[in-house]
Amino acid sequence: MTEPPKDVLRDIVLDKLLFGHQLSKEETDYYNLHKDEPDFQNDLQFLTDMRGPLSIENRPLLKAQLKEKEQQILKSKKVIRLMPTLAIAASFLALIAVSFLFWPSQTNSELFSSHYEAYPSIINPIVKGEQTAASVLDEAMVDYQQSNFNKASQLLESINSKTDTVSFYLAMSQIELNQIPAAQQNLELIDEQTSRFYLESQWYRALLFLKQGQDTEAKAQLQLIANTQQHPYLDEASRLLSEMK
Amino acid sequence: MKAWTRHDQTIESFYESFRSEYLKATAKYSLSVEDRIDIYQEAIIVLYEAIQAGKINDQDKPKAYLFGICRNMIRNHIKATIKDREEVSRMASQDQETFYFDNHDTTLSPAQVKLHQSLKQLSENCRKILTLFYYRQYSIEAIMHSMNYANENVTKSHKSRCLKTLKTIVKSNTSEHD
Repeated sequence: MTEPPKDVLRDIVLDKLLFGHQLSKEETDYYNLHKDEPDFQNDLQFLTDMRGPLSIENRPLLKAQLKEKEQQILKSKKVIRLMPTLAIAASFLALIAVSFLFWPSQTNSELFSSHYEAYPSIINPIVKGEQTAASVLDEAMVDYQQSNFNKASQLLESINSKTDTVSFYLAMSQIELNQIPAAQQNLELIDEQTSRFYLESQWYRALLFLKQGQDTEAKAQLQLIANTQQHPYLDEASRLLSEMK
Repeated sequence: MKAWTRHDQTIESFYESFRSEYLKATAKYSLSVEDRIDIYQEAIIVLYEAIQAGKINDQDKPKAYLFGICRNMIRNHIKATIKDREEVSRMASQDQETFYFDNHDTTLSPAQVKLHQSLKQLSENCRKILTLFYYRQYSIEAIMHSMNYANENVTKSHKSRCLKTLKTIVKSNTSEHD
């Protein structure tokens, strides 16, 4: 086998030392022979020093790459939500047009109020014990049932492990407290179709879009619900769609 | 684990795979989603650099490190904004592990400052090849494909030449200042 030229071997040894890779027999021999030479040490130090400036130069590029990825994720989520709705968009447009002709227009707030109803507590609180996450949730649910939404919200926020149940009831409490953007954020967290509150969160997301004047998003969300067979809010969503201009 | 640092696509997959879980886990903090996403991106970069610098080995669990870094960054962010001192102390008491590489250590030694200035005087191609090899840790073969070089030997010589040029610039800058 042909031996690599000495300067090539030197580069290989330096790079391997820098990255902590194992040296071959020949490379180890070279290293043992030269490791104490100031030039060799300086070269290795030079490569080590280079990392700092290179990372400073590259962080903005990596950051930009991750930001772009984030945009792609957000865009794809929107597309997924909108796609099934496109197929039935025409029929609903017709429905909306009819409703526009025959009914007086309602403001978004009025529509929200007429369709919004606080979600009932389906979590059965148990007797308080030690202060575990479960007991805090129980305590919060008692407050929620008694319409003490401020206290319920505080307790739910204090739970470190935000399960879907916690996020959902926190969002419900926040709606009652008129903390709409915070409620919206918590509902967005319930994005797994397997979640116990996934279908409910779709309905409340639509209502929050409506309340915030985001009609396009509200309609898209409602159409998605109306297009889902056996959705618990199918009738409500269709009715609300027909009432929206 | 190290493989994900080598290719942009894998970094992005890594980013996506823990994003949703991270957002859920950090919903309890009084930070906007935008701030939390920003912190998540910074943490990914910190983790990336920690792996490159050999501070984490291949056997480590990336999620645990990533979430640890995120937690520390959130604490620092809250401290900086002095929004909620109680929340900071609560987070501090929850922390089980300490991550010493949890922030961008941008302090450069005098030699690194010279190197940084000299890097800017290099041609764009040279900067790119050195970055891909020494920062992103691409293999020579990957650089060959990425930069359309004819073969691995040509790529190696380019890399070697660029490194020599950089050393010459550093020397020249040093003698100018002396």
